[in-house]
Amino acid sequence: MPNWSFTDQYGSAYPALANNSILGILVFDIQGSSPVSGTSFTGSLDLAASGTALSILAALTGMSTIPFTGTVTTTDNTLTVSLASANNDALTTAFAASIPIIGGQLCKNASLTINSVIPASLAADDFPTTDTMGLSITFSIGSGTGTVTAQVPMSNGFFTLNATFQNFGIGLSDLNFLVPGSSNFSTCFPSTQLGPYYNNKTQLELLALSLDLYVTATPALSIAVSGIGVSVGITNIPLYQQALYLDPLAIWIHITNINSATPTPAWGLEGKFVLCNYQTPGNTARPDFTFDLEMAFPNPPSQPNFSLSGSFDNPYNQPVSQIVSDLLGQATDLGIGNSITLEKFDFFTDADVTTGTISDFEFEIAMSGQFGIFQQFSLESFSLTVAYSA
Amino acid sequence: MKIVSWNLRNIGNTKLTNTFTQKYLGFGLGNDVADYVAGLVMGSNRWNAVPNLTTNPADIFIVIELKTGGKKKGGAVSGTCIPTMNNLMARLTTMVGQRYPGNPNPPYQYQYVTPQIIGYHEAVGIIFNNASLQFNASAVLRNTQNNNWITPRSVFAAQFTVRANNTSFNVAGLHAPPPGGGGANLKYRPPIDYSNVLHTTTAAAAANTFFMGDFNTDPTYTYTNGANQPVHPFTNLNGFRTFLTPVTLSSVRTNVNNAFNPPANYLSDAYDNIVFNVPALQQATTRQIVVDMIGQSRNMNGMNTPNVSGTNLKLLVNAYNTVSDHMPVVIEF
Repeated sequence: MPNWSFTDQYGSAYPALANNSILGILVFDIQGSSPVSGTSFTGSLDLAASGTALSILAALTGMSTIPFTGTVTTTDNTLTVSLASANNDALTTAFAASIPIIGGQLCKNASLTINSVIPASLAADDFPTTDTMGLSITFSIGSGTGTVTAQVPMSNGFFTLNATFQNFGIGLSDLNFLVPGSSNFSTCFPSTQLGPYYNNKTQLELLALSLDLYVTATPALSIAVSGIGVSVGITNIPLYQQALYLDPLAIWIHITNINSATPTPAWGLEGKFVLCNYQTPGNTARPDFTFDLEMAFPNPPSQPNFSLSGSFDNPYNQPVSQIVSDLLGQATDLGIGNSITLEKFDFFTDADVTTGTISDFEFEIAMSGQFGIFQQFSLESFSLTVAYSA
Repeated sequence: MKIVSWNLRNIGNTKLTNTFTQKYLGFGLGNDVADYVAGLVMGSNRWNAVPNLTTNPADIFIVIELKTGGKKKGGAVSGTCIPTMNNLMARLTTMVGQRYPGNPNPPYQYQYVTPQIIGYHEAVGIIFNNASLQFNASAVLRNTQNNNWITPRSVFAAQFTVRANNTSFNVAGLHAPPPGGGGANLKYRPPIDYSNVLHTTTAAAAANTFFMGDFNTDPTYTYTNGANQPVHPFTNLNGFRTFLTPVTLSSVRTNVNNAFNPPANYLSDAYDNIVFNVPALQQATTRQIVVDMIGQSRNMNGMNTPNVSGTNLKLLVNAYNTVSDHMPVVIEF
C-alpha cells in the first residue's frame, strides 16, 4: 500500500500544515490514491514511516500501523481533520499491558484521536487553530469508570494522564490501586489530620486524577510512575441562593515514591468561592468573580502552623457594583459607581497549633476607578494593607 | 558540583503538566513542562550539544518564581508550592532511577528545602542532592542594617556542607524588581538598587556564597543618580564575581522580533546570573553559561538531530513561553 500524507494533498493550499501541524509528519498506508473520499477518511497510520516521533506510540501499542477513520473537510477555506482510531479493542489490550497502574482488568477502553483545524489564510509559520493527537484511556474506579487523557508523548520522558470528574462518588479504598503494596492510598490519606472533618461516613467525590509517568521505548518499553495526584471533595455547595457557591471544597494529595515501602504524600485543602452572574444564576462554570482559598495543615517540624490564605480573582475586570447586582439582584443600587473595580482582596493567616493562637494575619484590598468623594481628584487607585505579627 | 538557576515564571503544580503544540512535541525535547525542565536539570542528551554544558545531573536546582499562597515574608508557604516541589523532586528522582537502574544507593538522591514566602505569592525552590550535600539551614534574609525585609521580594538562602570535603557554602535565590520607567537613564534603577542592598544580608557576609536568579539587570548596567554619577548593581558586593560574559541575554521575547539578529530576535535582555564569592573557582576550570534553549534546540527525532532554530524559530519561541520567559543559568565546577 502506498504511503500518503496530508501534505501531499493539502500542503500547497494550507501552508501552515507542513511546518506547524502534526499532520505534516503523519504518514498513512492507504488504498488507492487518497484516503479521503468525499469527506470520509479511511487509512492506517504507519508508525514507522511517520518517523521517530511516533516510536513511543509504537512501543506503547506494539503496533506498526493503527487504522483511523473520520472526516476531512475544507469548508470555508479551512482544513478540518477529525480522525479516531478504528481498532480500539486492540489498543485497549495493548495499553492494558503497557501501563500497569491502570492496566490489566482495570483498563476498559483506549483510543486515539487526531484533530486539526488549519485555515488556508495561515502563513507557513503560523499555528493551526487546533492541532492535537490525543490518547484516551477509560478504566475502572470503584463501581464506575474514569477516562484519562494526554497528548501522545513523542520522546522518552514524562507525560501525564489527566482526568476531571463530576458527581463521581468514591470511597478511599476505591483508589487503593493507585498505590500498590501494603501502604495503599487509604493510608496516604490525611484522615487523622482532618480531625472531625473526616470520618468513615463522609461522602467523597473524586474531582481530579493525574498520573505522572516516565516512559522509555528503548532498549525495551518501560513505564515508571513518578507521582499521582488526586483531588477529592465536594462541588457546587450553595451558600446564598443561586448566586454564591463554594465550588469546590477539596483535599488534594500528591503522592511520590509510589512503589517504595513508604510512599510520600503531600496534601492540603483548597476551595473556591464563586459568584455567578445575576443573568445566569447557578452557572458556576463561568462566574463573574472567584475567591480562592488555600489551607496548609501542620506538618512539624518544618511546618508547625496551620495556614490559610485567600486571593480574589476578577477575570472580566467587573466593577464592584456587579458584585452587588450578582448577590442582591440587578436593580440593587448602593450608590457605588460603575467605574470602581476591586482588583485585589487577599488575606493570609497563620495559627500556631501548639498555643492555639493566631500568630500572623494580613489582608490587602486594592481598588481602582474614580471614588465617590474623590471624584474631583485624580485618585485612580486605592489600596489598604494590614499586617499583624505576634 | 553543578548548580542550575532558573526563573520558571510563576511555576505551580498545574503548569508542570502543561504541554506543547503537537508539532513541537515531535522534536522530542519534552512531552510537557516538567519533562522539559527535568531534561535540562538532569543533563539529558537533548541538550548535550550545548557548548560547556555537561550531561551531569544538577546537585542544586534553584527555582525562581515558585508560586505559593500568602505574602508574609518568611512565612509558611501554602497552596501549590509544596506539591510543586514534591512533584519536581519526584521527577528528578525518577530520572535518577532511569540513569542508575537497580542501584539502591545512587550518587544523586534529591530532597528539597522547605520553601518560605519571599514576597507576594512567591517563593524560591531549592532542590539538592542529598547524596553529596548535607543541608544545614535555610532562611528568608533581611537587611541586617535595619532588620527590614528586602523589598519587594527578599532572598531565600540555604547553607550546605559538601559531604566529601566538609566545606560549607550558601546558595541564595532572588527575584529582583523589574526595570521601571523614568527614562533611559533610570530604566534599571529598581533592580540595580535592589542588587545594591544584597550586601546587607547574612549570605553576603559569609564565605562561599552564590547569589542567583533573576536580577533583572546585567552587572554592567548603570543608572545615573542625582549627583550625575553612574550607579552599578554590585558595587557593594565586594569579592563577588561572575564568569558570564557581560550582557549575556537570558530574557525571552514573547514573539520573534526580526528587527534584531539572533539571538536578540528571541532574547531581549541580560537579566539572569549567578554571582559568587568563592575564591577557589577559576574561570579556566569553571563552566558558567546561560543555556540558550531556543537557539540550541534540535529535532531529537530527526536524522542526525539537526538544529531547528533556523527553520522553526517561531514554533520554538512559542513553546518556550509555555515554560518561562527566562533561560536557565548553569555553573559547574
